[in-house]
Amino acid sequence: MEILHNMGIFTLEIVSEGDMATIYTIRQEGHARSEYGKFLAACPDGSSLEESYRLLDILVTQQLADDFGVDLRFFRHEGFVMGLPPSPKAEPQDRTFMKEVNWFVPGFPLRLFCYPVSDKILIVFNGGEKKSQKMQEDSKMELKRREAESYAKRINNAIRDGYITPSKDGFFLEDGESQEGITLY
Amino acid sequence: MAKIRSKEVAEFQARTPEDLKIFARHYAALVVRIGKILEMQGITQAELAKRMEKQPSEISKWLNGEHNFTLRSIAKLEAELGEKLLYIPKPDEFVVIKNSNVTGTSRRSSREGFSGKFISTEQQVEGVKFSPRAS
Repeated sequence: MEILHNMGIFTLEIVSEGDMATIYTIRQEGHARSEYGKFLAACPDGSSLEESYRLLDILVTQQLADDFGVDLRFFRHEGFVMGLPPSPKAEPQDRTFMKEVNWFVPGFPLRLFCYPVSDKILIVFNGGEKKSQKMQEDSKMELKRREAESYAKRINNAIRDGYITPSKDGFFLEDGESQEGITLY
Repeated sequence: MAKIRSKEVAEFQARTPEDLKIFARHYAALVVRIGKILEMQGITQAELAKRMEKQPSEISKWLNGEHNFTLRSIAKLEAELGEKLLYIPKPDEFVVIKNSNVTGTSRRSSREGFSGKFISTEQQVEGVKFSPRAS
């Protein structure tokens, strides 16, 4: 059954695979870049921000994937209603567990929205430069946060409904098929 | 190393300087190790601050990623915690690396570097190349 949501049809794509975790992003149908790709594309080459983008990218795609897993000490609560992703057998919930990656450089200037599904699976979305301490004061960032939350909720629902299953090796469809390029409607 | 499956990410990382990749790995590993040692020893940040005669806010910055560690501050932490934070091979020591992880060390007997199979006293590790000593 195809359900049209505000965010349209999107696909879960693997960004990186390591010994400790699999990092996903999503690509909206018809978009040239994934959400994480959009985040990286905004990196202003040659600027003072470039190093921050690259550090954050290494943390997410290499270190969380290979060294630490989805370790919550690297995340900061983003002010969403919290709740762990329920197992498929749990009662339906409409809460998601959204975080922001918090990196270790003095006055780190970036935000990256993400959804830690488990200690083995992380989904990264978009983000950008912090232009104010309170995100509500930055309308563009607030929009990205809402978009990320919307994707996260739909992924959470797909897990809850059993359409996709998180495992130690990543996501699998309910029939056990390949975890790559899972499309959510 | 984690395998990058995204073309756009691979292209981005191809332009990331190697020293930045190394710094990122070292920094995160250091902060996580310190955090774990504190957990194991049941020490709070406040207690550590008191022992080191520093302000709690300063220790908090150290442990929450707002501090560029110097060798001196790492040495102070090692002394206070009684645990190694940093390992640097001795001049005549080889580090055995397998799948990006250090799996052993060995002293070399000649000045020449070499590669090949390394058989430790504990287990046989095949297909492992010796890396030359850090200069």
